[in-house]
Amino acid sequence: MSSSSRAPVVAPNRVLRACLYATLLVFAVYYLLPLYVMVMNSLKTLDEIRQGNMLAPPREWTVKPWGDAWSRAQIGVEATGLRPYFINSVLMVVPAVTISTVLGALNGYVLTKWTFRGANVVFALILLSCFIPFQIVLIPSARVLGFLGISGTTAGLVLIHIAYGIGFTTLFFRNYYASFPTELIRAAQIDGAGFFRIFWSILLPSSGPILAVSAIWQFTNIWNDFLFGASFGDFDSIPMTVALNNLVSSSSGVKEYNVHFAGAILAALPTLLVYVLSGRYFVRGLTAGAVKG
Amino acid sequence: MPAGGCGLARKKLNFVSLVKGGDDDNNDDDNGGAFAVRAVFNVIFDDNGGAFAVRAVLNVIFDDNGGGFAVRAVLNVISDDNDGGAAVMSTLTAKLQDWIPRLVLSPSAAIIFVFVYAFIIYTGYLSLTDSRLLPSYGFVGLENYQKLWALPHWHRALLNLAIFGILYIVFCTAVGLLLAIFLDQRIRGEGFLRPIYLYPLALSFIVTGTAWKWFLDPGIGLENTVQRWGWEGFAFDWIKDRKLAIYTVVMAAVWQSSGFVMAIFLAGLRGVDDEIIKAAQMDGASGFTIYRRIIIPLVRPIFLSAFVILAHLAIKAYDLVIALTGGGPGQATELPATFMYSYTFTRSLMGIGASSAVIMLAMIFSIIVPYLYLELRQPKDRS
Repeated sequence: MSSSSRAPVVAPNRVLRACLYATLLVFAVYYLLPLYVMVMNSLKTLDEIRQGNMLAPPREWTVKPWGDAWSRAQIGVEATGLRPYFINSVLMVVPAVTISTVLGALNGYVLTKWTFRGANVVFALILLSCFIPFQIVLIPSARVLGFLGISGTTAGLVLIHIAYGIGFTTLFFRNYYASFPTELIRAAQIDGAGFFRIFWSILLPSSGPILAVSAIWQFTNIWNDFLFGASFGDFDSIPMTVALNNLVSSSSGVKEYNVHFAGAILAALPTLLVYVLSGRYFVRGLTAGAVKG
Repeated sequence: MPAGGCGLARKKLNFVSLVKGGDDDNNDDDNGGAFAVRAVFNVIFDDNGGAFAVRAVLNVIFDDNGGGFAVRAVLNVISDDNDGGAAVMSTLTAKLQDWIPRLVLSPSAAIIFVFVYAFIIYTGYLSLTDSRLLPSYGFVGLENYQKLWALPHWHRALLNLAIFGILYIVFCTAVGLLLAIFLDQRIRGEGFLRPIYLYPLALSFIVTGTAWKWFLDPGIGLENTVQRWGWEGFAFDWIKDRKLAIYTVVMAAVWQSSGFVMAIFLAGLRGVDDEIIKAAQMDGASGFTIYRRIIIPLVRPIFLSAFVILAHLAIKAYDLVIALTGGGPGQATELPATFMYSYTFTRSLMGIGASSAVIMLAMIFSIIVPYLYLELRQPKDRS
C-alpha cells in the first residue's frame, strides 16, 4: 500500500471531490467517535457522566478513574485494580510471541528451502489450523492442560497461544521466504554451509520486516484474546481482557462508567501503541493472507 | 576470530538460548548451556566441520538434559576427526542435512497434530457420548445431534448467526470497498485517514464491546445525548430490544472490521495495471464506468478473500457478544459460539456442547477448505 501514483480515475470535478472528502471525513468521525467518547468520559466524574452529554469534554477534569482502574477497582472478589492482570498479560504475551515467531520462522524456512515429499500437505494442515473455531478444542485443551499440571497457569496459556499461533507465523514466514532467491541458498550449500548456518547468515539478516509483521500480529492476537483467558485463566494468570470484562459486567455496586472506560483504554493501550508505532507492519500482517503477490 | 564474527555469534547465541528456553523451563543450568553454545559457534566460524556444529546445536536445542555435555562431546569428535576420515564425515553430513529440516519442523507439526487434529477428533468423539459435567465415554450415537436440533435455543443461535453473518459481510464489504475506492482518488491526507479507519482492528473485541455497550445504552448513551440536544422523542434502545439487539452486534462488528476490508481492497486497487485504466480513459470511459466495468471485475478475487475471512470471523464471533450483550436480552443475541460455551461449561451438557462445536467446525471448513485448496493449487497451475 504505497501512496497512489495513478491519475485520479473519477474526473477531478470540484463538487464531486468535495463529496469525496466529506464522505471520507464522516467515516473518520465514525471510527474515532467511540474512542473519543471513551477518553473524554474516563476523565469525567461519575456525577457528570450521569448528567449526560457523552460528547462534551469534561467540565471538571479528573484522572482519578484511571488510578482507580489501575490499582483500586473491584475485580472479582478483591479490589486490586487491573494492575495484576496487566502483568499477567505481559508475562503471557512475551514468551508466547517469541516462541511462536521463532518456530514460524524455522517452519517457513524448511517449507520453502528444504522441502521434502509431503511438505505441502504439512503446510496445508498447519495453515488450516488458523481457521478452526476454538470451541472445537476447548474441552480437550482443558483436559490436556490439567494432565500436564499447568491448568490455570500462565505457562498453560502460553502453550495454548503457541499452539494456535504457529499457523499464522508459519504462513507469514513461508510466504516471505518463498520469494527469497533459492540460488543463494544452493550456492551457500555448495560452499559447505549447513542448515542453520544458512538460516543465520543468509535468511535471518533480511527477515527484519517479516519478523516485525509476525511479532506484531501475534502480540495483537494474544493480548486481545478473551476465550482462552476466560476458559483457562486462574487468579494468577487471568489476562487483561478477561479482567476488563469482569470489571465492566460485575453487577454488584454502583456502575462506575468512568472507571470502566479508563480500564478499557488501559487494556487497549499496548496494542494501540504497537499499531501507532508500526502500523505498516500491522497492515501487512492483516493483508498477508488475503492478497497474493 | 574477527570482531564482526563475534557480533554475529552473539546474535545467534541469543536465538539459540531463546529456543532452548522454550523447550525446557528450568533455567538453572543456563550458564553452562550458553557457554557450550558459544563454543559451538566458535567452531562454526572456523569454517570447517559446519555439519557437526549444526548437530551440536541440535543437541543443545533438543536435548532436555545434559545438552552441554553432548556439545562438548561433539566438539571432541570434531577435533579428533580433523586429521582423517573425511569421507565418513561427508556421508554423515549429507545424511544429517537430509534430516535436519524434518527435525526442525517436527515440534511444530507435533503440536499442531495434537492441539488441532487430535483435539478435533476427541471433541468429535465426545459429541457421540453421554458426557455431561465431565467427559464420559458411554457411546450414544447421534443422540446429542438430535437433541441439539430439537432445541429452540440452537435454532435461535443459527438464525442470529445468519442475520449477523450476512449483514456483517455485506456492510463490511460495502464500506470497505467504498472507502478503498474513495481513498484511491489521490486524496490529500490519505496517510492521515487510513490509520484512523484501521485502528479498531488493533483493539480487543472486549474493548469494542465495552465502548459500544455504553454508546448504545439508552440511559446514558446516544439516546440520552440526542434527547438532551432537544430532540425529546428520539429513541434508540435496540440493545434492550429482543428483536433488534442482534443489529447492535452488527454495528459494533462492522465498526471493528470494515477497515480491514478497506485495506485489502486498497491493496488490490493499487495493483491494477495503470495501462488498462489509461486505455479506457482514452476511449472516453467515465470514472464510474471504469470502476464498474474494469477495475471491480479485476479485483474480484479480493471479494472472495474478504467473504471467506469475514464469514469465518462471523462463525467464530464470541468475545464481542459476551462484552456487548452477554447473549441477551434473553437469548436475543446468542450465537453458536456462545451457545457452545454455555452448554458445555455452564449448563454441563458437554455432549450437546461438543456436537454444536462440531457443527461450527463443519460450517467453517465448508468455506475454508475449498478456498485454501484453490489458493494453494494456483501457483502450480501457472508455472
